Amino acid sequence: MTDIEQRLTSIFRTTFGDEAIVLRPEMTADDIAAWDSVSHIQLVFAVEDEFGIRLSMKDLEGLVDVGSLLATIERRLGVSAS
Amino acid sequence: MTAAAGDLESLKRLGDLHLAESRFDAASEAYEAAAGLSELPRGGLRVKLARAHLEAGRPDRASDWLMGLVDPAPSFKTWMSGAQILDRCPVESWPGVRRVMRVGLVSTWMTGTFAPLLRLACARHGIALNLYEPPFGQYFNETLDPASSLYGATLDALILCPDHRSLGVRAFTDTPDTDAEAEVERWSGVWAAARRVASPVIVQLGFAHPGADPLGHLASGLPGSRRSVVARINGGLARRAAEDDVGFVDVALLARQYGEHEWFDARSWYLAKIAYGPAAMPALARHTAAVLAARLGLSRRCLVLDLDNTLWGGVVGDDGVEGITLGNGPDGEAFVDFQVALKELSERGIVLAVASKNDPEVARRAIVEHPEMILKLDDFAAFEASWGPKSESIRAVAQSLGLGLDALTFLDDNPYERAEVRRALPEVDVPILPDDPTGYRGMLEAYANFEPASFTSADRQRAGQYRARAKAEALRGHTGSLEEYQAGLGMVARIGRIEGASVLRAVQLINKTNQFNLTTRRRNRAELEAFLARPEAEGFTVRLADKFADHGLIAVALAEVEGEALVIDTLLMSCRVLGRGVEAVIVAELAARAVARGCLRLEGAYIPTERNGMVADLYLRLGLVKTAGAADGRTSWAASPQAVPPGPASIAVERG
Repeated sequence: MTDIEQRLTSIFRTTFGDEAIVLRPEMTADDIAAWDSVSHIQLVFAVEDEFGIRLSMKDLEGLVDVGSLLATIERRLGVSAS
Repeated sequence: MTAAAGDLESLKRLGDLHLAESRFDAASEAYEAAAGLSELPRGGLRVKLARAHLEAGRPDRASDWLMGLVDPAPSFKTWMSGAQILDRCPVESWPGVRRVMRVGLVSTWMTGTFAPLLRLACARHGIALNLYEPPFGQYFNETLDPASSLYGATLDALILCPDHRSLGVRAFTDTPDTDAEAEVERWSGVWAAARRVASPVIVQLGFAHPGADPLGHLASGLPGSRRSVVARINGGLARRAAEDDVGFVDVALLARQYGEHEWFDARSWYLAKIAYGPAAMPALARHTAAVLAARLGLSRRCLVLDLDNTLWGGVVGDDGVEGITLGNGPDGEAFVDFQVALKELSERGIVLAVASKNDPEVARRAIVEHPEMILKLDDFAAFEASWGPKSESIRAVAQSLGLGLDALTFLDDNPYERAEVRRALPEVDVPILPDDPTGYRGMLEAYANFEPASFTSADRQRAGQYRARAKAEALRGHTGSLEEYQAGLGMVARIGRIEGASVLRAVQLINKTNQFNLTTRRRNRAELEAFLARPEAEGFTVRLADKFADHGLIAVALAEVEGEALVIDTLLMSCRVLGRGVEAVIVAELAARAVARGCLRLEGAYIPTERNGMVADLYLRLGLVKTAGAADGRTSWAASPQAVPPGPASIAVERG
């Protein structure tokens, strides 16, 4: 697990109050019961805060699953996806 | 320091490792060790501690760590994470809960991210909220309809959160008076409606409005501009809230303080219909909680202050009154400004008190004598200066003022003292003063826990009332139990001959004692030894000790036999043991020696000087009768030695 994945896992576990969450790239809001519109925006703010980035509306619209979120974070951080 | 920082990082990493692998006991152990390395662990570490403790089945430890999140200003993410964890801790496990309330949170925007933060901020005040959130957009439907689902919940409090997007204010109006008044009527009308159904505590949030205006700077000077009208609506709503016993949160003020660029966030609105940006949410929650706490009478009411390096720079006991930093240089000016802010707090009803590790006389002298002191002795309702632990001084302050510990805030520059008080008295709020005194005033002004519920002339007098109470308490403490107190001192008076080493000390007392001295007859060593060498002479010294201190040789008595009388030549005592009854021991001893010599009378004289008025009636108090009085004020006294009462029971007498 990369450093980014580990930090993102921690955010997911805190935001959704579930220490059993293990991230998979294809994971979507349907896979986590507590993932609603409010917790989605919390997730976005937490990600921005944790990684010191700011996501644009276009970034946000492109977030369809955990994989796209990871890719967006990496792009904003200037990390090339491995 | 570098080593400690390294330990901190590695301990946190160790905790992270355990947490990622769901080893919660091990994680909390590592995090606890990391937390022990700093005075107040940072928000991120607190959240991790709470996570680990909660998962390990210890919600009480988890919520305890979360409470401290509210005090500094960590990020939205830290607050949010903490609030999420607190939501999973049962209220029964929270520390210091004083109220459990059903609260309606009614808004014109999505409060889903705000509500958990508000619960956390209220928990810090000991208020546990059960929140009822009607869907947003139902602001007036829910509040004006007595049969709404909101009122079905029987609310203890109602928090009203509109935002500027719901104001019907155009860019410019020709009728600003009626427009503003109509808005004030519309929003305040909800209060009356709510009170027709029940009697909840009501907190109204005001309107923050982005400053941008098509009329630019000119808008501020035009009554009809949107900026002017929104300001009038806020003012009108705040005024009416004060009249109608409603709490008002000045959101426009907060937006200004935090900066509108931070406060407003377009994405939050367009994406999620949240009125303000994430940076605004913790501040909004904290201040709303402070106003609610004030409505419930849970605000802090007394500020207990350290002195050295808190009210002035330097240590007065070492540097002297002239040597402390106050009024001179940047730090000195900052201390003066801090004192001005404290004075203003005191004038509006916050009670000030002192808890200082100092000699009380030195501390008082600095306050009385330093020309730049803004605060005077009278500004402090209680004054505890001693060398004991600060927590004990603070406890004494609370007792003398009749206040609960949870009404107290303590300010001290010293992290050691703050930690001691936090540990011993968790109810007392102990914020951190900035390292630099130039930041003291700003810290005090940003502190939200003194929020007043109202302001009346009674508030202005409150500090004075507390001072009077403290004085009465001090008197009661003395009059009720002085004998008891002295009996418990274990005082021992040792009566000894004037010989050897005690001769010098006796000569010293004979030549310098002015106040407690009946005859003020000075003698040098040779004269004293000549006096004592005569067979008709009597003389002794008295040493006094109690369980706190050995006061040493403190009194001298000389007498000589003249015919049938033992005549007191000299009777003097050091003033530092005044009021303990030692003088009665001395005169009783003289009477005993008169009896032993076969004398029928004990005689004494009082010779007045400018300094010894305190003993003018000493013989009267000790059972002697006045036999003569001269024009110069000199009086003569006598009694049968058997008639002289013994000394007080609280002093044990030893001879040798």
